[in-house]
Amino acid sequence: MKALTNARNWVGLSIILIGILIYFIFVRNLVFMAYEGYSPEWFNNFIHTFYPRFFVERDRFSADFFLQKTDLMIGRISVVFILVIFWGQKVYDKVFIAKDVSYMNFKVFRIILYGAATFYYWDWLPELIHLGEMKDFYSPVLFLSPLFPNYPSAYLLAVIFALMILSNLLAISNKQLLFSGLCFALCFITLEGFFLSFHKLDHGFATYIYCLIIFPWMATVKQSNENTFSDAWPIRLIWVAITLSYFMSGMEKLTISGWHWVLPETIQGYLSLHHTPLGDFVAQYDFLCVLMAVLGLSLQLGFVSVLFKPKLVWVFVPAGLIFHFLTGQMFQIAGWISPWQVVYIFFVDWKKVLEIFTNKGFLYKMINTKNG
Amino acid sequence: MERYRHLGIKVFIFLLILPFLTITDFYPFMRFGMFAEPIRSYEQLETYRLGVFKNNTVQILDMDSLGLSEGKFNYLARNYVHTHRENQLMRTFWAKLSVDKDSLFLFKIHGVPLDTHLIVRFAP
Repeated sequence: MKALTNARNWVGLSIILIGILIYFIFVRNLVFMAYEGYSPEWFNNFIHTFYPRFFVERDRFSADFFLQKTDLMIGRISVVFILVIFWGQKVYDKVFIAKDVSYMNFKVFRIILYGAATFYYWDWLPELIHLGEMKDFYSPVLFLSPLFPNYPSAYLLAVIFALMILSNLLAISNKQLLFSGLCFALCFITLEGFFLSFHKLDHGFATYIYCLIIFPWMATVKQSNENTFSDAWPIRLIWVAITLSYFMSGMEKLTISGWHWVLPETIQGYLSLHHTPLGDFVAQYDFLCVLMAVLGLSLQLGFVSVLFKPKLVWVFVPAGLIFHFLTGQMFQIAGWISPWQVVYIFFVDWKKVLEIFTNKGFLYKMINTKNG
Repeated sequence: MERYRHLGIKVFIFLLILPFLTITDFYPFMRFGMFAEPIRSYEQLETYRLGVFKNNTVQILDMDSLGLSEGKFNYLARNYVHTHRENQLMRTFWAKLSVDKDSLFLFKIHGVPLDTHLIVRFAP
C-alpha cells in the first residue's frame, strides 16, 4: 500500500509511459528502417555494438520478427521497471536476510568450486592455441573487444593460463581469497571469452562464472566466532544468481512461445535435431514430451521459491540434477558433470550431510578443522 | 561501507537481468533463450558443411581437426553467408587448408524435410 502512495514511484511510472510513447512514435520506425537498410549511421553503429547478429538474422527473418522482438524487449523493460520501482526494495529486503554460514560449509564450497575448475580448464591452452589458426574469424565478445581487438598470441595465452592456474591454487587454499579469487575469475572469463568469440555463444558456464565472481567476496565477511560467518551475503547472492538464471530461462519460453511451448511438437522438434537413443524414445510418446516440458518449466519457474522457503531445496536440487542429466542425455549438451550442477553445492548444508554420512569420522574432522 | 555493499549487490542483479530485458547476451552475463523459440522457427534451422573437391570426389572436412567445433563452424558459416561474404569465408579456408585440392564446396543443409544445397564452389 505504501508503494502506491509514494510520489516518487508515480514519477517513475510516468517516465516509463513517456519511454513507451517515444518507442512507438520514433524508435520502432528506426528498427524498421534498419531492417530495410536505410537507418541513420548512429543507429547502425548502435546495433553493430550491441546486437551484431542483427545483420545476419536480417537475411533470414521478416521485419515482423524484429519488431516483435523489440516490442517484447520494451514490454519486459516496462514490466520489470514497474515491479522494481513499486516493490523492488521490499522484495530485496525479504530476499537478503542475513544468513550464517559455517566455516565447514565455506571450506567445502571453496574446494569444490575451485577444484572443479581444474577439471574444466586443463586442456584449454592447447585448444586455444589451435583455435588461433582460425584467428581470421575472430570476432571478440563485447567484454574482450577493448583489450583484445585481435586474437592473442600463444605466448600471451600461456601467460593468462599460468596466471589462472596460480590464482586457482591460491584461491583453493584460501590465500588472499578476495584477490586470488577475483584474479582467477577474470582469467577464466577471459579465456572462456576467446572460445566464444567465433560467432557462437554458449552459456554452459553461465551460473558457474557468476559464482566465481561472487564467491571471493566471502573474504570480506566477518566471522562471528571461530566456526561461523555471520551475514554471509555472497552465498545469498549466489542463491539469487542461480535461481534467477533458471527463472529467466523459464520466462524466455513463456514470453516467446507462450503456453504452446509445453505442446508435444515443441520437444519433439528439438529432439529430432539431436537424435539420441533416449531422445528418440521420448519423442515417440506425446504424453512423455508434455510431461518433460511441464516438469522442466516448473523447475525453471519454481526454483526461485527457495529464496523464500529454503526447505524447498530438498525438492529443487534433486530435480535440477535430474533435469540436467536428462537434457544432457537427450540433447547431447554438456558432459557428465555440468557446471550448472556443480554450483548446486551452494544449496547444500555440508556440515549436516557429513555428520549424517560419516558419523563425524575422519573426513568430517579433516574438513571441520579451521586451518586452510 | 554497508551502503556500497548493497549498491554493489543491486548493480550485480541489474547486470544479471540486463540480457533478459534486452534479449541480448552481454558476456559473461547471459540470456537464456535456448529452446525458447516455437518450433516453427526451427524450420529455418541451417547447418553447413565444407567439402574439399579433388579427383572428382568431395570429401567433407572434419571441423574439429581445424580447431573449430561443428557448432562453431555452423554459426561462422551462417554469419558469412547471410552477410553475403561467402567468398571471403572460402578464401580464408583455402589459405588455411594445406591438403591438395581443386576447389572447395560449401553446402547448406536446411528445410523441412532436410535438404542439401550447394552455396558456393570456390577456386581462386
